[in-house]
Amino acid sequence: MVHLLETEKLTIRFGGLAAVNEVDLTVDHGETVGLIGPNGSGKTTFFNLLTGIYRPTEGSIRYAGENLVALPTFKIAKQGIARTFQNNRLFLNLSVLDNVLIGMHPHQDSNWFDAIFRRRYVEKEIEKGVEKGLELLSQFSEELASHCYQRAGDLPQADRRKVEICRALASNPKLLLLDEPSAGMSPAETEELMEDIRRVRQKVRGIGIIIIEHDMAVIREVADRVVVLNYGRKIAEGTFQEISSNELVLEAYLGREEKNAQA
Amino acid sequence: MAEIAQQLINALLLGCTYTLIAIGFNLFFGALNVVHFSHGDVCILGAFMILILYGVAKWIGAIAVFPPFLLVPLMILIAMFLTGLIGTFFERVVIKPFRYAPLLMVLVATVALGMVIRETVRLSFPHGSNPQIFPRILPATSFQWHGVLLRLDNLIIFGTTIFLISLMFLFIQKTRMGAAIRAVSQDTEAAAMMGINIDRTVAMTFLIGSALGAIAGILIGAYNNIIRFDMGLMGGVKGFSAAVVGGLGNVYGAIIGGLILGLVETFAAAFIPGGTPYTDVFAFLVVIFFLIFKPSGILGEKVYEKV
Amino acid sequence: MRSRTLGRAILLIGVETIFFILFAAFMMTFDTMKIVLFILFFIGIGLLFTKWDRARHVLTNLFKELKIFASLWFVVLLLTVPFVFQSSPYLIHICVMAGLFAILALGLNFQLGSTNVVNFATAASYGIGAYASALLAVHFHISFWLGLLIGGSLASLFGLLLGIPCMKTKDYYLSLVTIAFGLIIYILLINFTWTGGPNGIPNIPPPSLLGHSFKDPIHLLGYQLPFQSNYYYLIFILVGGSLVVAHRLHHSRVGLTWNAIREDEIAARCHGIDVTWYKILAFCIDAFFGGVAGTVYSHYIGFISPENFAFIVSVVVVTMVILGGMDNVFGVIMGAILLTILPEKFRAFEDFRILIYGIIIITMLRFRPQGLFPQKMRIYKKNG
Repeated sequence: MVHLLETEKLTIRFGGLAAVNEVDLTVDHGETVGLIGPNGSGKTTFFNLLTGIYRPTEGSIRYAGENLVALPTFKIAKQGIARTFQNNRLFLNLSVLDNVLIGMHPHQDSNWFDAIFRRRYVEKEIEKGVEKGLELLSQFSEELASHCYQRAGDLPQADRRKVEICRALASNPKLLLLDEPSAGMSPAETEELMEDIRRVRQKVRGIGIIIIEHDMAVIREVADRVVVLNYGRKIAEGTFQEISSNELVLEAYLGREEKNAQA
Repeated sequence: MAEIAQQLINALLLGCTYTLIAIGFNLFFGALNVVHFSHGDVCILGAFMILILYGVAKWIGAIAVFPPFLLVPLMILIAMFLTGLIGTFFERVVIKPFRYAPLLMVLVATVALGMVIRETVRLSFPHGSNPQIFPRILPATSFQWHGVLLRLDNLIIFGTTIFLISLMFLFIQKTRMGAAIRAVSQDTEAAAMMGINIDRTVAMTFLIGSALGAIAGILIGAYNNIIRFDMGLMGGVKGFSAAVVGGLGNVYGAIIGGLILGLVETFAAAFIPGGTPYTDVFAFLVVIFFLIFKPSGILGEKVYEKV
Repeated sequence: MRSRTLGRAILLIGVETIFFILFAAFMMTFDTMKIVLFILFFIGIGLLFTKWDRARHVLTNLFKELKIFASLWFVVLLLTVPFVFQSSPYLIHICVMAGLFAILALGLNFQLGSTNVVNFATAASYGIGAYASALLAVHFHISFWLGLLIGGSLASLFGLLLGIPCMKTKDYYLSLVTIAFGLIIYILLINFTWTGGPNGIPNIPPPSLLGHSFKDPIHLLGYQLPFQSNYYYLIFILVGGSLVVAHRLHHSRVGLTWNAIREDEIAARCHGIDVTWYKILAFCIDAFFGGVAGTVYSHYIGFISPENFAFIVSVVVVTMVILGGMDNVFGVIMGAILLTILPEKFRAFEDFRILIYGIIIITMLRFRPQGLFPQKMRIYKKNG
């Protein structure tokens, strides 16, 4: 069977430093993969490679059997890979609803000519988008849907995450990349986030998710499989249980001294 | 052969001017990640300072008393210092408030500042819209050397430029302040955490950059024998272009970029029939070519966008 | 219910008419003291509105409810301008120039306001349009109306050319390209012999429509309107058209996409937006507007020279956009009108004009970067 996403020996070097080093990773339809590792282990860089922001030095990325390497970012996004960002990058001066509408860009098609001369077509497109956007928002929070004209920059952190996830989902992605969605959230908010992710998996059949997280509770709850990076290399892969007892992983997180002390 | 040598000398002189302006652009960009679009106008202020100082010296009778080899260096030093102060002042008033604002703002603000400087100069000099005669501060003797005409003032200009640029490099490489400037240009936040006074370092950067720019302004004045209020616009764009060609943010790149622009312009004027009025066009085409095919310039490093 | 609407309509007509009369009176004032008083009065009204919430709500609701009626009456008022200023063609001339700059500013707004691309080459597209149509008219007797299209398209083509570097560059570098491009066009215009060099092109024929030359006064309803009125009505239609285009683009996928690029280019790319293409599109549309404005200018004045298209013109248009309010179509037009009319009213300080522009830009960016009329959030119609 063709994997939804398959990277093979994916590598990028900045100068002499290999930020991501020969990483093999697969995601299947409907699967959620947790990507963990200490700070600076190359997790976000890995996302940047998948989305075409960086071009890999070596290795291949196959998405639904097609090669993604060397495609520009926007084309990759159009193929159905959506992401959120570590420090969330909302369009701060636009409204919540506009943020979500921009997410629909890949499967809308009106151009400048339509905008000027085919007003009815454009209005229908906007109407459809607004309807879908509000529906999407209200799934996450009624509050957001009813305050959809609020400036995105005025939202509290937790709401921003939600809007960002909505924006990503608005493009009907087949693969969703979540970069530390729980960062800066309170435990209650994190709880809500996990609920949201579960809901996404239920609603969008077959969606593949890669989630970068530092909060192991989140990983334990939502990830079917966990991949651990350290210094850009994949050092372990398996279920959460397998990972949490893996020596290499403990060493990566806790350092070598402890092992030496035991020896 | 002599013709080419002669043109090379011209190119070198022009290159010196552009290099001096470009160094400012690179210093500022290194320190603040800012392109100070009015830097060219600040540089021309240096020339106008000389104009004023010369007038003052004449008025108090210093010209008759002191020999030029004492008076001229003194005037140039004062002009450099005053221009440096003005540059620092502009940094505080116009650039610093936008440190955390979107890039577009400081960009437009400095372009507007250029306008303000030009207009202020135009309005404060009598008949300010017309070219002003630049005083002959350098000796006008010249001599032949293997068929090449060498002008003494050009040699002095060239020597001074090399001396000042070397002095600046020494300062940046050897002194504590220079180390601070290098640190800030590498990583402002980290430098601040190491206890470097960012504001003072940035101010120093603008002082040095603007003072060197003043020399460029004086060179332009001495070379053309006239100065006009709006020469800074073209000077600034050329200086910035030189910085981009060499690699924005890299102080050594300024030299290469300045020389390349100087060569392109001089040789376009000398060897392309009817090319003289279009020298600026050729220079800009070179810059646009670089921007399209090597945006990081000759010595610049490829920058990875932070995500 | 009906009488209520009628009452509101009358109130609306009253408000608009009073403002129009004030505007006309202001235009016809030439005494500096009185002009200053007028301006203080306008500022006072403006401040009153920002502070007095009730009045603002009443009026905004009024305008919202009777939107079509309000704009219709506004159009009627504007159409009477040549009649009001019948005896002073100079005032109509100012209005024409304000309209031309409004078109330029609306064009630049697609880039500076919507997309955050700083383009200092407005003067170049303005000049290309002006020179292209003027040369065609003088040498090949091509009519103004065709020239309008050719001027716009040619400028647009140059806009495309100028947009190409933005595949690789942005921010400062792109601004450098636009400045360099503007200077290149200026240098070429001065040095080419076929453009008339520094002397420019004289004797550009005026347009004519259905046998009526725009050099002739209009005879209408027993009134004789000065020839500038022809151009006033032409500009009126063109500004109206530009306004509709700008408004429609803003309220469409294209406008939203431009805003996304302005806010965060990387996030925009990650949502499938072809940033390069949309930037080039903004360049082309801006240049088209510039070309159209240039064509009208050259045929209106009848004489053009490179000085009309110098770097400073670009900066003036940038000032208009920033003062009015970036990305706000209405604000941008207001910026253009203000910065055209005020300098004319203060001719005594003509020498300080550019200096004041510079100070306005820096002050606005520093203390009110959103402009006099900030952009509001897009509001969509509720379903059903």
